[in-house]
Amino acid sequence: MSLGHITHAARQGVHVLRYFGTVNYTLAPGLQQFLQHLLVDTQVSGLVFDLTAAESLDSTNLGLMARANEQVRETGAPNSVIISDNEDIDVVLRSMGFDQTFDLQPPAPLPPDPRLLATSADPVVTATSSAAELQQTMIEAHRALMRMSEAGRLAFEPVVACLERDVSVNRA
Amino acid sequence: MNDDAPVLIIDDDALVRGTFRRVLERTGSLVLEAESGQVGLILCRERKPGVVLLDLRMPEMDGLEVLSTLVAEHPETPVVVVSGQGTMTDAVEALRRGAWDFVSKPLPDNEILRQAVRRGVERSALLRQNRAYGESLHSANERLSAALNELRSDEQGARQLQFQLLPEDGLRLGSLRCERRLFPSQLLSGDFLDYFALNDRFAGLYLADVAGHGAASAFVTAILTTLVGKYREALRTRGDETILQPQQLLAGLDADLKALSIAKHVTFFYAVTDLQGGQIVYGNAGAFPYPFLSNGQDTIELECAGRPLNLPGSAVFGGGEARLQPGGRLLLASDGVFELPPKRTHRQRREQLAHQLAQANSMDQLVRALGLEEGTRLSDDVALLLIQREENPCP
Repeated sequence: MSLGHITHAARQGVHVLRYFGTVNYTLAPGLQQFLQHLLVDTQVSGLVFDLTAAESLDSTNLGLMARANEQVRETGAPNSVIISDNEDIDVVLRSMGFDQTFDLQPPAPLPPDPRLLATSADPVVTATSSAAELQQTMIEAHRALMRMSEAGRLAFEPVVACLERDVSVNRA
Repeated sequence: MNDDAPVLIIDDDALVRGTFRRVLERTGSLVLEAESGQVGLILCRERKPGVVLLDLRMPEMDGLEVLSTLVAEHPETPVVVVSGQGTMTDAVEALRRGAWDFVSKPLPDNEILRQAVRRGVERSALLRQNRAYGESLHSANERLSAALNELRSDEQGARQLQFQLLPEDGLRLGSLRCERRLFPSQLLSGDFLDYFALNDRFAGLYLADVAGHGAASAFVTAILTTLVGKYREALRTRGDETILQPQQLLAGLDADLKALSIAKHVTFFYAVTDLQGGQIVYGNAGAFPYPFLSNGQDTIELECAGRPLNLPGSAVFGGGEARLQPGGRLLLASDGVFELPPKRTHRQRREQLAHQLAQANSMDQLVRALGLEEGTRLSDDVALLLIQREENPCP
């Protein structure tokens, strides 16, 4: 059992949260504050929850995901994407009906050449985009962020550290 | 007291006092003089010096005697003893009585005196700091203990409430024998279950898990029993059949909880069982594992995905129908069973539970098979509800 943590990165309004290890209620207050801050103050065109590195999620965190998803859906964003290949997590997500309100996806293989990404992963999200296009944008953004992260060009920010930074910037 | 506190020189020899004064004043120290032990003790009480330089050999009151009084009255004030005919026995006796340092006179070097005073001031500052830290830690610790005790009593209250609200273990409803166990974790959470007769023909049963931990989650379970009670009452008094229709009950509870603005979602499995025929109609709001139904050798999971209660957005609940054969068993378990050692995947644990249910004739056997005993330290609550239909129901 490894201690959980969550990181965040964004690209063109698509925000990706990566969950690591055992994600339990101790992370929830920080994450909730972060999400509130994000969803109220930022233009969020899509949310992606990457659970591929998570060992488990407790009910409090599942609830937070559901609430964040409803909040972005209310603003016209598509169903948030959950990326997971953990059978234990998948079965719980489905038992709670998350497949109805989220877009559950297995991890997509990363494109082999990062240079391809510059051209393939820059779709512009417009108001006229169809739901399917938006979904595709979110998957692409996730893929792009993952690739950038792997290439060391963009670190996923620890969520709470990011929150603290934002708060101090606002105070200044 | 601080670095500006004066240095008190207690010495019967005015010449020595004058020399010491000049040496110390050159580095900015404020100096007080006393020509005898008695005067020195009075000045100590009145002026609170930072360091005391004490001559050991004085007429009237002996230096060692003065030292003992000083140490008793001002344990944090450093005393540096000074002796003209400084013998080792003097020094050892003085240090034994609580002197901090020892210098001989005449001074071999002015700097020795300054150093002794400086060391005394520094050590006494450290000592005071240490004591202040100790005191603040002590008081912080007391505040923490008080807060913790308060939380514990909240938690105990919640736990007691939870247990008081549980139905009778081993209750018979028609041909059904209902058994239940609730194993609370170290961290109180919100597992709860209940079963009850609805009328001559039907019994209701549910297993709920409120998200989160702590007394608040436990109290939500108490709210749930009240809400369910409201629907039971509505059937009895007004013939309102919501409680007989699992889907309708789930929708009703969902609306009730949303109206209460409690930011905690609840997984909830509810079933209505026909006391004669064993037919079961059930609805599920996100409870997992799904219930296990064992009719003879054949154990199945009643798969019924559905959205938990009290999550924003429109709710779609799972549900279905089944039949409990004579001799059959229905087991509801909370998701705490997945945390039980040894570590297993969800699938392995569910297969194990299905197997154990087929083998076990009673809740006790099932609990033993799961390795659950009183006092087991659990990371999550485990709630179990076992319904068995008798082979030959009593008339």
